Amino acid sequence: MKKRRPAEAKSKPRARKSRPRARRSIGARYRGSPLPIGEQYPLPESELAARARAIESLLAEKGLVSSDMIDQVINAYEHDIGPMLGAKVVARAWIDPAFKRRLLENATAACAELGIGGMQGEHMICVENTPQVHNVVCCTLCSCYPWPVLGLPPTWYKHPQYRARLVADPRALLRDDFGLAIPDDVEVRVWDSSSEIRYWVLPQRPADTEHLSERQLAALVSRDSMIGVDRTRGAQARPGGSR
Amino acid sequence: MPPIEDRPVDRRVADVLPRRSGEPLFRAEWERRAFGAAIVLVEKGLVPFDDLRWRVTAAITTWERANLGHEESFNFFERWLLALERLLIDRGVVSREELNARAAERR
Repeated sequence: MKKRRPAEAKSKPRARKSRPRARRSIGARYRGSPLPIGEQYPLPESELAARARAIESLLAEKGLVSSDMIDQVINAYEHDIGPMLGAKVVARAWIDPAFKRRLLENATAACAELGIGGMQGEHMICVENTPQVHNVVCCTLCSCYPWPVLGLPPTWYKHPQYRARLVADPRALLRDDFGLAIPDDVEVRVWDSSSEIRYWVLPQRPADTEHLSERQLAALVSRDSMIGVDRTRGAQARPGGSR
Repeated sequence: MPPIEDRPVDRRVADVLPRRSGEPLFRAEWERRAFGAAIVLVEKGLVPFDDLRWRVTAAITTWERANLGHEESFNFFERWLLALERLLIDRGVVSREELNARAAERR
């Protein structure tokens, strides 16, 4: 792979020559930007943490932000799963048996009913987890993945170890790397996606979720459970999920 | 398509964050706090997002120029924190002395 290099760097070869010194005063050499606070950066991790704490406490003191507000923001972004429309499809299948049947027969067509589809999802097959069968998907050749329902693939999905070990010993991989122990009496089925067919998993609906709305159900469905490396957890597992 | 989470995220913000779509965003608690504090300011309308964004972008560019060939040591939130500090100082929200003094206390 070619080394990435900012376009401007070409006309300023001296940026490269002076690299060793630059580590002490990154900002000071940067012209045309009001950034140079740089006499302090880079900083050790402990100092960065102290400065972040200092900012938070000063902002709190001035009445501009509170810890609660920060927590809420962090929570929203940490759980932002991007275009994970699959959760919506799963929730619909959980409450609508006829839709579930159509989904398992032809996932691409069923998703299209909900306005979900497009590139990399032309031929999707949704496989159902049951008390007897646990499904998990991978792509042994590269990283084929049902984008329209799951968004971008996680980094580990592309790792050679995941792709190889999932086929060689799925139970061990799920247990060791994902903390998911599949009981011996449950069959594990591994599905190998390709550019022609992309698999994904319909997880089991958790117990005690009868009272939840379709939208609340969708919030329980994780990306990993639709890849098959996690199971769907109950409503109590998510802050604010049950009331 | 309404978002699945009740609390909507700002897509402009989500788009500048590294490793979206399920990957852990933060490696340390201070990264969480520095991120959250900045976004609260944006959400309350106290800081325009574009001001934060261009400073983060500039901080990253500065780093890249100084660290060609060492991209593996890049830390997005270190750059974020630098940009946030500068933003708060430039806007007169905190003074540099105040910030340095408080950081010394919080070490």
